[in-house]
Amino acid sequence: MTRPDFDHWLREALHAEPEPDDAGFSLRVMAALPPHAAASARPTVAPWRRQASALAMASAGIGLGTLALFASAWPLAEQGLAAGSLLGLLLWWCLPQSAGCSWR
Amino acid sequence: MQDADAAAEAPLIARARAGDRAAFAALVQAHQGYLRRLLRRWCQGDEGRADDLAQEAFLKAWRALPQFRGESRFRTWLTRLAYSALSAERPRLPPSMDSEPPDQPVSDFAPGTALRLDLDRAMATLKPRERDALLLCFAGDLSHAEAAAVLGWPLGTLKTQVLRARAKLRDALHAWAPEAP
Repeated sequence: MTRPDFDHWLREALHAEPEPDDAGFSLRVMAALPPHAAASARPTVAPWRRQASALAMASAGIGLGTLALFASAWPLAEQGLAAGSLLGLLLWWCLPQSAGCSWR
Repeated sequence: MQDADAAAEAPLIARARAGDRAAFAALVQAHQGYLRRLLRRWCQGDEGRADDLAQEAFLKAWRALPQFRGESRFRTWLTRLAYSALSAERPRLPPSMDSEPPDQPVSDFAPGTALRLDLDRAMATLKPRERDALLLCFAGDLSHAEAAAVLGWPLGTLKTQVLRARAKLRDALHAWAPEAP
């Protein structure tokens, strides 16, 4: 008996027993399912990321507000505040995306 | 044929991923027979344990469906989940559960009984890795690449284990395949 013949014979021997009937198995599985697959598998965001993004947004808001209030007072301060605002915005937009989360 | 099956069940998978329980029930019904038969072979006839493992695999599939990318067949992915459940359980089993042939009374008059007993005994002489590889390729009808993915082995390792298992079975079952060299 050649190797393909033996393989065929072995495959048939292993399939000699028919697949079991459902006999309520599917119902048993469905009864044990948790409520929502999509909800349970939704990517979760670590709390520190939410806090960091909120802080970054607040920083950007404060920076922009300060800039608006004291636009002509201190040019250097303006620059610093503008940089801070930009940094805050950068963090806001980059932190969640870096984790592959699309929760915004 | 396999591609056609995969294409046919793609809409079901998409609906199940969105949380459609009816679609998932259809997937369970379509694959339960295959998975339970394979697991019964793996569990050496222990139907209760096999069904528990099959249920665990389906529950894992339901939870993980949103991460299923469709890069492999659903059946292959499901088999991997079942094997993962089996592997997690194996260390807790007494050695005899995973190495000895089943000791169940079987009617001598049942058709195919003698072949089944000899096959079970021959399978029990294989090392677990050889048995896993052989069952996936011959009882599970997975390709070598699919079986390697299920087991998490390199393809060459899988092929080696299948070759060894097949050689041992040819020796052990020469009475059923008398022309085998």
